[in-house]
Amino acid sequence: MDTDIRSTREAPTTSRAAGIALMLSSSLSSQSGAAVGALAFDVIGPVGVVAVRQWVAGAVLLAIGRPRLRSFTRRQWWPVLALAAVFAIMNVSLYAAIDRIGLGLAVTLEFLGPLAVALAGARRHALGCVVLAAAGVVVLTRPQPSSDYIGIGLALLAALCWATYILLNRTVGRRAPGLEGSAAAGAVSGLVYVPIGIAVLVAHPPTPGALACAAAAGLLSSLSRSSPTCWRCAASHPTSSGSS
Amino acid sequence: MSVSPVFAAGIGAVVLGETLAPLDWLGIGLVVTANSVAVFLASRARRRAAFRRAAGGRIGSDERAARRNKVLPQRDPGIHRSAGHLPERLCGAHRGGMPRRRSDVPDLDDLVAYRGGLVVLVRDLVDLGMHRDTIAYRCRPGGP
Repeated sequence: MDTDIRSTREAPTTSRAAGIALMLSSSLSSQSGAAVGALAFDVIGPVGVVAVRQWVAGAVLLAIGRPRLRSFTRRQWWPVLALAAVFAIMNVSLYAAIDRIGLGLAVTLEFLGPLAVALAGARRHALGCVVLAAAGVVVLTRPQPSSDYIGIGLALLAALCWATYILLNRTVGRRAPGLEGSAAAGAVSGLVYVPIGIAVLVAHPPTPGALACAAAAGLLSSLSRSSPTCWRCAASHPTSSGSS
Repeated sequence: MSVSPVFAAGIGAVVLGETLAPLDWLGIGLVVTANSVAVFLASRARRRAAFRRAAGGRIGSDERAARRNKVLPQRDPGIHRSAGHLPERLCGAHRGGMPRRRSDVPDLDDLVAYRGGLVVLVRDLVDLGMHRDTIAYRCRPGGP
């Protein structure tokens, strides 16, 4: 009994430290992924970078999540398809925003999405946070004639997508085991970018360096975007190879 | 996650040569602060709700101390014991019957523990600080 209680007290401490480390490293890899991707903007443009990024991310997620697509039911497919659409729009709007207003500003504005989700969950004392965040946005955007409102709008669209992504990911996580749902969504959004990417790459012939940058962006951010909660799902639901 | 904008601004400055005005850093700081506070408030609200559900709405003055120690209120011995030492009945999922393997558990959060007529969701045990893997381990037949 004593050992039971001790183990339940120690476990959260270690898992919290590991969680923080995972969060910091995934955030770092996600942002460096975006920065490396931005290096290829001059050659293939933000849409080209996002296309290659989605292909790589789709392949990585398929390999990690190994979704059994044939066994998905209609109830599992619709949130997966919605997640794929949100995933696709989120990245193209974020990368287009990075191109126009810079990485720091774009990511900060995109961050208002998860902030809104957290505020909706906090219920009480949320008003203070809303005021703080709104002040931050006003300071960042400093409305003036020279402001790039399209860039700001794209970053806010990415924020909306990220909030939707979090909510949909919860639904997908409940309906499909482990990482299978997120993996399937990543693969579908990669498929969506096949025609778009081919068109862009034909119009703007890529250099090997640009392709490598975009692929590195996909690799770095797909390892982080499959959020920590999903890794926790994966840890508590090891992908069953034997059960059918 | 809260620090993402700071990382982004730093990496943008180093890798992409973006320069940010002091006001930009102030704005980033404000958004990051708002997010940290919101995440803290949300997790506290979840924890409190879990506590209320687990205690059947009866929260005493020892609530704060109990939460700090990651145990359920002493006044409810059934719940208290089930938090430290999960009962056998936890292994009965409310759908799908007895799982044979960990991977057969449809969704750990949907498992319920019955103790003294009270129902505890595993989700609530996790919110109270119990480790998922510990719960899953205990769900194995023949486990402790």
